[in-house]
Formats: sequence, structure tokens, C-alpha cells
Amino acid sequence: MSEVYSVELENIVKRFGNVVAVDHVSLKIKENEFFSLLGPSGCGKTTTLRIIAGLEEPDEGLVKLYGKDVTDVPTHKRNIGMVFQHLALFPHMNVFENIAFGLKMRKLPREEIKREVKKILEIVKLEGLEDRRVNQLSGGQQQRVALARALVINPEVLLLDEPLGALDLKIRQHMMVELKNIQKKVKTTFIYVTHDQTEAMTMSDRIAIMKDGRVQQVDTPLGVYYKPSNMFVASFIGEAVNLIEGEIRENGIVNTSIGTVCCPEQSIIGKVAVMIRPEVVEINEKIHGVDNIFKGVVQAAIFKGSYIEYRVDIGGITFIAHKHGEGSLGKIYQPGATVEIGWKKNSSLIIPIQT
Amino acid sequence: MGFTDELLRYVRKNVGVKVALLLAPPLIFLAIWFYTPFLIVGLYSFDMVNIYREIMFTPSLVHYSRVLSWTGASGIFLRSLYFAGVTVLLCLLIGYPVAYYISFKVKKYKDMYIILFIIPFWVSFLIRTYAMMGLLDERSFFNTILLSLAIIDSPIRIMYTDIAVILVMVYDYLVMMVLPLYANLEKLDKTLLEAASTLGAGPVRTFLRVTLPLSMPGIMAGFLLVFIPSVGEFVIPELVGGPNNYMVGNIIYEIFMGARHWWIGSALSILFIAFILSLVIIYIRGVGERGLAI
Amino acid sequence: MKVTKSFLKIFTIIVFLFLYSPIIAMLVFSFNESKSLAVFTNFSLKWYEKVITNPDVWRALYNSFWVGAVVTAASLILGLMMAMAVTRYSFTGKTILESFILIPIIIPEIAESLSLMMMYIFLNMPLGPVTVIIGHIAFDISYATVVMRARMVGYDRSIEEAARTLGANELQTFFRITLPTLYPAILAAGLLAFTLSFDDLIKTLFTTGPGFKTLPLVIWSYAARGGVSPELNSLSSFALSISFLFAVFRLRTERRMGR
Repeated sequence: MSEVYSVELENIVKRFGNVVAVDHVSLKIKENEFFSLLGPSGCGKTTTLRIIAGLEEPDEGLVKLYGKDVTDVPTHKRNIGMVFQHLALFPHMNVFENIAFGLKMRKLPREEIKREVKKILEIVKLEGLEDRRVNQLSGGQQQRVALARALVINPEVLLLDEPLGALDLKIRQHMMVELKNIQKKVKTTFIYVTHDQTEAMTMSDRIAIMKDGRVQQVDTPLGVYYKPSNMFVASFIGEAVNLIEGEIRENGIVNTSIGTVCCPEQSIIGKVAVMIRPEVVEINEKIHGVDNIFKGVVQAAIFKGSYIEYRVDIGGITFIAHKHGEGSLGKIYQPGATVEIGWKKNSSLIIPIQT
Repeated sequence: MGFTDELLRYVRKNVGVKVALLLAPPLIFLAIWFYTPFLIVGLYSFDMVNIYREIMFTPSLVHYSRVLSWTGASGIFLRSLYFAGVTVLLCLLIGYPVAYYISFKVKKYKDMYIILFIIPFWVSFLIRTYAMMGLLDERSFFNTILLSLAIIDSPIRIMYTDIAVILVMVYDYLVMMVLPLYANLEKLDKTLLEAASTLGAGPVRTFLRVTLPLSMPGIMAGFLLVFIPSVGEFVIPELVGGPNNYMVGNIIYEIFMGARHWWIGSALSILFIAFILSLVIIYIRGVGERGLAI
Repeated sequence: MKVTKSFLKIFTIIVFLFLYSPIIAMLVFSFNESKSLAVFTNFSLKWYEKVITNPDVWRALYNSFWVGAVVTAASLILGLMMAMAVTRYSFTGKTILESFILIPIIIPEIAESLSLMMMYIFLNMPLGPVTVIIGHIAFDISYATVVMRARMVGYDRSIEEAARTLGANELQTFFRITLPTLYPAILAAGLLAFTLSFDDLIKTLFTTGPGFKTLPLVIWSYAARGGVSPELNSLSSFALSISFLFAVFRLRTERRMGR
């Protein structure tokens, strides 16, 4: 069965003066997928989104919506919906008029518009607020009006440009769950741009990680976390990561500055980095039963709530280990203490070093 | 169908076309009705138009030399500068304390004070000037009160004197000095003054070394808004001044509406416009871009 | 410090008195029965009667209003076009254009007025309402542009992009989204343009034809000829009250817009 792609980008290039904002980006986004574009500021994710919307024209490349080439089609003729970073609610209209705008443009009869607006207000849980002026609403409510306005027109694709940035942490967490539920309910492709990996990891079916205008990796959240394809993705995703460089031989043995590290067998040889996530690293006075054990001195022990982050100096390299669970009941290693850290062979991931 | 689509696409993509479409009507209008008139005045001034309104390509400076050789010319220009200068100085001396008082010393209802100050200026320039005429007239109640209080023994005849012109000019232009000053003083970071006092500066020194220098942009803006229009003032000398107090504007009016000598009038006007523009340029050079941040 | 404060206070009060007394005197004496400007004998409306029954006054008032309306409409449209070009796009020559916008404000009104008159004479155009209107517009466009531009600074273009994603083409976006959102700016500019036109004397003086008078022109011809007089007091008070009402209206709409 062939996949239906709601959005396809083929070799998109966009320049602003001398800066290449989008550098040969190609993506295939599946129907009804929650797809995120994730990366640091300036990586080109917002520009890419705007190109899909038609608000920017690419210098090279094609944009396709459900197989149809829309590169030359102006924004108001593409059937997309967009939620803007600062919401862009129409200040001179109330909630009802804002949401009804797109339906009015499509010349729907008044009765139908009323019905559709009512329906969408229920979905975003804002019933009864039709007559409010938009500046009388809270941040979270305004958020949902922007969402409702874009969804009520039944777009083929919904584009979201960092919509949760201005909200408080708790509301943001709540909205992430809401957004995911709404997406499942309305069965529309969501393309979500953010620099916050928690948002991307929580809600997405797949994530495209971008840097300097190029796509670094496209994969599921699990995939980018446990199998990053390069150093950038490995250090960008996740709270912390250990990356040790070395030379790999056959059998998965890597020679590094701190000694030999055992990794799963690979066919690659040459210069690589070994990635070990802090949560799989054990820390104790003496460790047994794992393939990689190293001795080191504790530099810092930082209490992070649900876990303690240890920074251990091993032969000049700072190793990060996260110890979950024990808190004040367990033992806390003080700076200066000698400890051993260890991890299983299969917890090491080999990342080829790109030049 | 295809052609309009192509056209729309071209316009959408092309910023230059959009800008050109937006600017064309206003710029064309101004080119015809604002700038071309100056061109025509220029032509007249260089004697390139004859009495049959035909353009002759024989420029000559005869009208300019007539204007410049007229002994009264420099006197009129100097008097205009003098009136404008005194006006702006008085506006500053009167306006600054008022702006300072409202901005710094009034705690509540600052807005109301400023609006009360502005209300007289909602009245048109002409009516304000006329109202002042009423006070300056020797039959006015102002004179009557002074007479009856025996402060003076004959009515003060201020009308048709230099003082009258300057007085009315200050009256009419005061707001143009106070508003920029007030805006500037309002934006002043008051914590700077507190910092100065913690460093040992008393109120006078704080004013001279902190407040005054920081209010320079406002002073400059006020200067520009009062001085430049004052030099070209016409209404006030015409109403409250006599031929002894005439400024450049009045002479120009006489030549155009009285004598109807288009050529000399044009030469004088061009000289006058050049005069004003050079004042503005001197101002810009002396003060830099900051002075224009009204 | 206290001394300074009292001094400043007294100074300010004196200045306020200075500002208000001519106008109040004029208003008061317009109700005076006798011709005197010094002594108030009796309350009387006879001077106002003379003003109100003068057909010239009403015609002039009517002219001032409709000229003002036409000038305001034209200045707003042309000024909005310039303001939009300058605030939305960057293009070569933009800074020069921005300076050019200020030129009509800098050059003395008398120079502008007589130049325009010269052009009319040169082109053999009959002077009348049309020539007056053109003169006002040429002047007001710059003011309208400057005011609108100042208030368009914080304008968020993303609402227009939002409208486009919802299916509105450029024209629909402009009329349904842009214009309503810019309404406060347009209103402020319009009120200013109308006031400038309504109160204008110098431009009108030079560009008007026989028989076409605006209210300031009527006041001017009386004042220049006869000086201070009770009828003129009443006429000026009458004109003043119109400007004043207008300014109050302006203030209240600005307040309501929540500047």
C-alpha cells in the first residue's frame, strides 16, 4: 500500500540576501501525521513552514499538497490553516467573527457558519464565549481561538508556528495534551514548528531536526533520542548526553582517551563518537556486571528533583550520570569522592563523525 | 483568465511594482501641484516667462539684482530673523518653566494640566491672533484697568509696534515649544536625578548638569517648530503691525497681491525659500539627526 | 526647594492666565451690549444676531465644511498610500522619500501658497473652490502621512497573513482586516487634515477666486480692514465654538480609542 503524503517538499532553497535560510530541504509528511520541525533559532524551520503556507516563495524547489504542485499557488488559494506565533487574532472582531472569517471567505451560508463555529468551539472547549472581544480572553483562551479559527475551515494541513511559547509552564503542558487530542479528533495533518524539544517529543509522530537550513534527521521521537544520526542531534536532543570520541576497530571496540569502550558490533571503522545517555550510566563505589567500567572523581552533585545529576571527572573528561529515585534516603556522593561508573555494551551508540 | 493570473503573480512577487503602484498617485499629485509651482516661480524669477505667459529660454538675473539692490531688502530679512529669534527665545524662557513644572512638580492629573494648556490652541491661529488684537487695542479692558488703577496715565499704544508683533507671535507659537519640551521631560529617566543627588549634586547643579542637557532634543525640536515658521510669518505683522514692522512675508504679499509684479515677487520668493532651506540645513548640520526626531 | 516650587507654580498660573485672557475677553465682550471693549454694560445677543443673519457667514461656513470634507478624503487616501509604502516595504530611495514628505511642512506656507497661485495664473486656471481644494490637499497629504505613519509603527502584519491563510485575497484582506485595524490612525490623521483645512487662511487667501470665501477668509477680511469690532468678536466666538466642539470631539474619540 503506498503512503499518502499530505505535504511534500522537494529540494527547497530559500535565500535572504547572502544567507541561505533553507538549504535543499526535502520532506515527505504523511497524511494525518503530527509532524514537528525542531531546531535552534535561525535553523530555517519557520521559513520552511511559511514556504508550505505560501507566505514565502522558494528560490528553488517544489511544494506539493496531496500530490498537487502548489509552488505557484498564492496563499489564499491553498487550503491550509495556520496558527501564528503571536496568534494574529483580528483585534476588531469578537471570538465568533474571528473564527467565522475563513468560512465567510468561502461564502458559506450564515446558518452553516453558525453551526460550524459552534462545533469547533466545543472541540476546543470554549463554548459560550462567542461574543467576547479577543483582548478580554486569557492567553490560553486566545490560543484556542486561534486554533479554532484555523481548524474550522477544514484545512488539508494545519501549520503551527511555535504557538505555545507565550504560555506558562503548567498551561503549556496542559495544551500539549489538548493539541494532541484535538489532532486525533479532527484527523488533520499538523505541522508544528518549535525550538522546545519537550513539545516536539511529547506530541509528534515524527520529528525533523533542522540546523543551519538543513534537515539533520527525520525520525520518531524514540528514534531521535536513542538513535541520533549525528553529533548535533545527539547533543541537541535530551537533557544531557555523554559523547566520547575515538577510533573504532572491528568487534565494536573503540579506543578513546579514557580507555577502551565496548559497543555493539558494527561494520564501520574509523573515527566515531560513542554516545551514552546519562540515565543508563550506573554510579557506585564498585560496579560489577557491565562491560564498561571506569573510575573517576565526583566534580558535582546537582539535585534536580526526580534525580541527581553527577558530574564525574574521568581522565580529564566530564561524565554525566543521572541517578533516579533514591533522593535523601540513598547515598549521595560528595564532590571529591572516588566512584566507579559503568554501562552495558548495548547502551553505547556509535555515531559517525562528519567533517 | 490566464493573463490576469500572470499579472497578479507578477505584482505579488515584485516589491518594486507594489511600491510604485502605491506611491504613484500621491507622488504624481505632489509633483504637479506642489513641486511644479516652484518650478514656475523659478522660471518667472529668472525672467523666462513673458507677459503673454510664454516660456522664453533667455534666463536673466535682472529681477534678482533689483531685489538685492533694494536697500530695504536686507533690513527686512534681518528684521524677520530678529523677530523670529526673540520669539523663540521668549517661548523657551516662558515655556521651559511651565513644561518643567507640569512634568516634574505636578503629581496628580498631569494629563489634565497639559490638556488645559492645549485648549487655547485648539482655537485657530487666526482667531487667537484676533483675540490678542482685542487686548492690545488701546480701547481694551486691559488698558482701562491699568488706567483706572492709575498705573499709567495714557493708554498703552502697543498696536503697530515691534512689541505687539513679538507678543502675539509668542502667544501663537508658545505651544509649539512647550509640547516637545514636555514630551522630552516626561521621557526623562527620573532615577538619573536621584542618582545625581546621591552623588552630591544639589537641585541647581542637578538641573544644570543633568536635566538641561538631557532636554536638549526637546529644546531643539521646539526651536525648529517655532523659529522656522516664525521667519515666514505673515498674518501677525499684517494684523498687529504697521509698515514699520513688516516681515518678509508681508513684503511678498504686497508685491504679489498689491503690485502684482510676478517677476520681482518670484525672485524674492526664491531667495526667501533658499534662505529658509539654508537655515534648516545649518540646523541639521549643527545638530545632527537627533534634532529631527520630533 | 519649596521656594522654587511656589515660584514655578505662580509662573505657570500667570502663563495660563496669559493664554486664556484674550480668548475669554473676546468671548465675554461678544455678548456686550455696547460697542465698548472695556466696559461690560449689558448682556446682549445683538452682535450674534448680526452674524447669524449674515448670509455671507453661512455660505462661508458651508464652504469651509465641504472643502474640508473633500480635502480630508483626498489627503487620507493619498496619505495612506504613502504611509503604507513607507512602513511596509524597504526600497531604494526610501530615506530620500521620507525627507521629501517633510518638505511641505518645512517650507513657509506663504511661499507654497503664492507658488501655487503663480501656477494657476500661468496655466490660466480660473480661481475658485477647485483651486483652493487642490492647494489644501497638497499641504495636508504630508501631515496625514506623518500622523498615520507614527501610529502604524506597532502594526502587526501577521494578522494579514492570517487572513490570507483563511482564504482572503489581497483586496479582501485590505478592506476587512487592514483598514479596520488602522482605523485609529486614519481617524487621527483625518481629524488633523480637516482642522488644517477648516482653519486655513494663507493658502486659501492666495488660491481662491472672486466670491468664494471660507470662514477664516471672512474673519480675515473684516479684521484686516476694520480691526477689532464687536461683530468680529461674535463671529470669531462663533467660529471658535465650532473649532472647539470639533476639538472636544477629537479628544473624546481619541480617548475612546484608548491611545
